[in-house]
Amino acid sequence: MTTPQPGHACPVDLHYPERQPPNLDVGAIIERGRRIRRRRRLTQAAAVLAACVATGSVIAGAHGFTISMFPSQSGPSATPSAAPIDAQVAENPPANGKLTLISNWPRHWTTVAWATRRGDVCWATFRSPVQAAVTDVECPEWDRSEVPGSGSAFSPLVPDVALASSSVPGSGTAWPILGLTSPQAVRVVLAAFGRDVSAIVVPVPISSGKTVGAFVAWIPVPGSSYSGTDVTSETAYDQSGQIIARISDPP
Amino acid sequence: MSRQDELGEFTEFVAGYQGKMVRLAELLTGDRGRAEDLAQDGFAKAYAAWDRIRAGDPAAYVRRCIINANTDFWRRRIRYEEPSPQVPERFVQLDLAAASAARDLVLRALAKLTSRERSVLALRFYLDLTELQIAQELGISPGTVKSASSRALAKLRADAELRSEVAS
Repeated sequence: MTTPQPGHACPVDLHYPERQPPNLDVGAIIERGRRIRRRRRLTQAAAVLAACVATGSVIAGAHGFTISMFPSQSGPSATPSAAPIDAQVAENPPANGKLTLISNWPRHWTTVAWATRRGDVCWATFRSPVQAAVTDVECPEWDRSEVPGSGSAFSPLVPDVALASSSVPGSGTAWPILGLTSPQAVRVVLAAFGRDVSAIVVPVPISSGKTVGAFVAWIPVPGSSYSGTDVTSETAYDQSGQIIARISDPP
Repeated sequence: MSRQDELGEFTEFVAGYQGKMVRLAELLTGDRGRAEDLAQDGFAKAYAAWDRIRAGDPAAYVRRCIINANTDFWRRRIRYEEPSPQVPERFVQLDLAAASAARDLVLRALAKLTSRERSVLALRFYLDLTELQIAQELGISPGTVKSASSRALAKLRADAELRSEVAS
């Protein structure tokens, strides 16, 4: 029987010796840095402008209704601000100038997604009123090659959104998990911990009139943590209830 | 500052930090080639912002670039873990061959963690940052750092391969 390690010790040594010291190409680094500088000068003004447009309004694609994510400044409850995600949106502005609301469930939590001009897809999940400590933005999360077309496919799930977990009514502690699928899907069912969790698929505009389906599911977690492997299957259904995409882990 | 001075200062910075940054990226990705790409990109972004960051903490800037770029790897993957009540001993490196094997073992063990957990462990146990510094670096709360670190350590202690390596 081995002796338990103290609670804060790492059981593996991350300072293992180098087999071969790295020798990065400084000339190539500097050249690339110069290109970035040039590009930043060109895009800075445009990005700031796009961010102002983008964070001012959000469209909800699922059922065709429009929601203002950031209420007008006139009411007493008009405290939410887009500040924590402004910078990321400015760096990767949405191609159509808008963020798409994926979900505002559970209460006080909002998840949005958007596609960049490059065709990558980004998302943000945050607590409302916005609190920097419980905001997570990944941009890009899925690069263009991972965005499903109209066929029957899923993009890789984002397995473990490392936000503070949230207390979900009737479900105890839950964590958000995000994914992309065919825009023909209207609903996705994820299996985790022996339970099925259903999520509405929301079309997110990507380019030239095309969309991709995005969803967020809050997985009730029995213990204190979970990983992507706890989700054992994903199934996408179209409007008529037919299965159009399915993946599951091997036994 | 003249352009020549800037180049000299930046080249010195790269020379001084490339080992740490490549190692950090390797711990995050588990792949040496991708690690060098990430580090190279991080240094390039640092050069692009050199005027602004040189007086502060340019190494922190590169670290953040590497961690952010690695989110592409924050992906679903098939993992097979075998939890066990037994706890591995701290790994001890004896010689270069053993060290090489240790590297592979460490990277395989880290690959079973989530991206966030790997980031927290690498910052905590490789770069020796405090929980507060890690929270600032990753843009999350100190409580989340603590819980991610705790989960990651628990997974490593339960790692069957690490246990059997220590036992052999």
